[in-house]
Amino acid sequence: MQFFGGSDVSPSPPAPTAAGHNANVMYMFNRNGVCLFYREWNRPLRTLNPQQDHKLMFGLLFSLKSLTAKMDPTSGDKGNLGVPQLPGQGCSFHSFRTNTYKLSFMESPSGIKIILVTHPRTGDLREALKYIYSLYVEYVAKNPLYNPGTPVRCDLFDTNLDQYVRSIS
Amino acid sequence: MIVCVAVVGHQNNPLYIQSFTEADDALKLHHIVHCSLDVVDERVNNPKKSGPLLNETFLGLLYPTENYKVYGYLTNTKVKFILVTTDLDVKDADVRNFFRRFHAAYVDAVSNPFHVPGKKITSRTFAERVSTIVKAFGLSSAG
Amino acid sequence: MVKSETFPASRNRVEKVNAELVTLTYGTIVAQLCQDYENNYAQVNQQLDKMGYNIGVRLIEDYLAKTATARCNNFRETADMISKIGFKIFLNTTPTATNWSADGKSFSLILDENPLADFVELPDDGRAQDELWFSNILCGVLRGALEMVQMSIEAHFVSDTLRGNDSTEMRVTLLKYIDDELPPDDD
Repeated sequence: MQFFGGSDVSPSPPAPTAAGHNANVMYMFNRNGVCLFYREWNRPLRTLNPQQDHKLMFGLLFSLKSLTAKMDPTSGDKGNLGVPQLPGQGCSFHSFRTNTYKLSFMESPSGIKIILVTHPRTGDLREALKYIYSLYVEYVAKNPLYNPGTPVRCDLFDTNLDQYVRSIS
Repeated sequence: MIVCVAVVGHQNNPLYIQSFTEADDALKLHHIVHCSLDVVDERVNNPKKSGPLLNETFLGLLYPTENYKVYGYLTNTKVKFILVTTDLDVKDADVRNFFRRFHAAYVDAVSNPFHVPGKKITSRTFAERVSTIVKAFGLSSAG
Repeated sequence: MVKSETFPASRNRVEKVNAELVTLTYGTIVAQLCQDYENNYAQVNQQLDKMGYNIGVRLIEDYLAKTATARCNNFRETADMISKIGFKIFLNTTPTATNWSADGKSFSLILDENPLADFVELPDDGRAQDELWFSNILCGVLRGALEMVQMSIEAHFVSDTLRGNDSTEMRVTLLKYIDDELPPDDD
């Protein structure tokens, strides 16, 4: 999906470097809208407090999801705009791009939402998000000390995520 | 024909004893089993130089009486299996085979989570399996 | 673009664990529960269900990550997935989903083999045979896992070979689909 015109007009961020960080921010929500995980690698702009920021992001996804489903020309069976959909049901968007960033999104049928904001020129990240989801399963969901539905505080997850995100180009 | 089998714990506590005779001679058989424990201890504590290897579980013929032959088997957890038979010409291989199957049945019985180690084996399945094995013993030696 | 060969090792291979270890571990847990609750089997069943629930809510993530399956279109498909994929990858057995109710909302899972119950003989105290559902943890697992994918279900055993029944049968009933929550209001 391309928003606000197709070409990369200025201001555009510096081109990604081969080894550098292309990822800016990552969010992870559960299906109740609780922000399980938030991490920023590169986010100079900070105008909102974290709670508002998370709420805004969740709201954006929610609206966008129902909007994209509503616009789906291939399926006749649609809910009304604003009526919640079951995760994984119907059509779902996986990314959008602006001139300054790209937002990639995935949702597991269990309602775990992973959002990765990267440089606009990064490629298809669907596999990468699946991989991050598998990291979450390995290091968080399977950790007996982790209480489902609470913010993730797990060093192994952090290190592995950092390492992996660094490799995304 | 096998007249009695027994399982004895490592402190010589009886875990399972079952006789397979019509006559009411359970007491006599228990006595024979009891006596055999001393022989087992002796075998274990004074291994013959040419005797079985250390990890050999089959102890062979423990002692013959006028009517019975008593065989022993010692697991690595020091649980003893005793077999009392009336057959006179018993093939060693048959007895070994019997004990091997008996051991397998025993392992499955103690794997029951509701079995308390060191307590008597009350499992009905175990009793059934043992009697099948005992019956099979008679058949294989006859053939 | 994405280094797919760097997936965690356990993603690509099927993990193997000695079946007897699982059986003995589970058996010990049940036996210990019976001891702790002084053979109050109703409570043991309940506790097993609760433990299963806690496993289920996590296990579903593993299932989804491993299988990458999409949402099921109906409950029948869900039943198929449970028996042919879920049980297959976690217990390596394939129970049969059958005995559908007319409204398609409940079915029976017949477990031809139950790896949890090998070696097991229920205590011979006259009550366990009637009151204890040895494998009750499975009900909890299903309840927890399906709840995470927006299905509220009820599951219970109706027969168990350990009790001398001919088969081991679990009844699963769909109560309702849980709606996704709306984002919190801005205020």
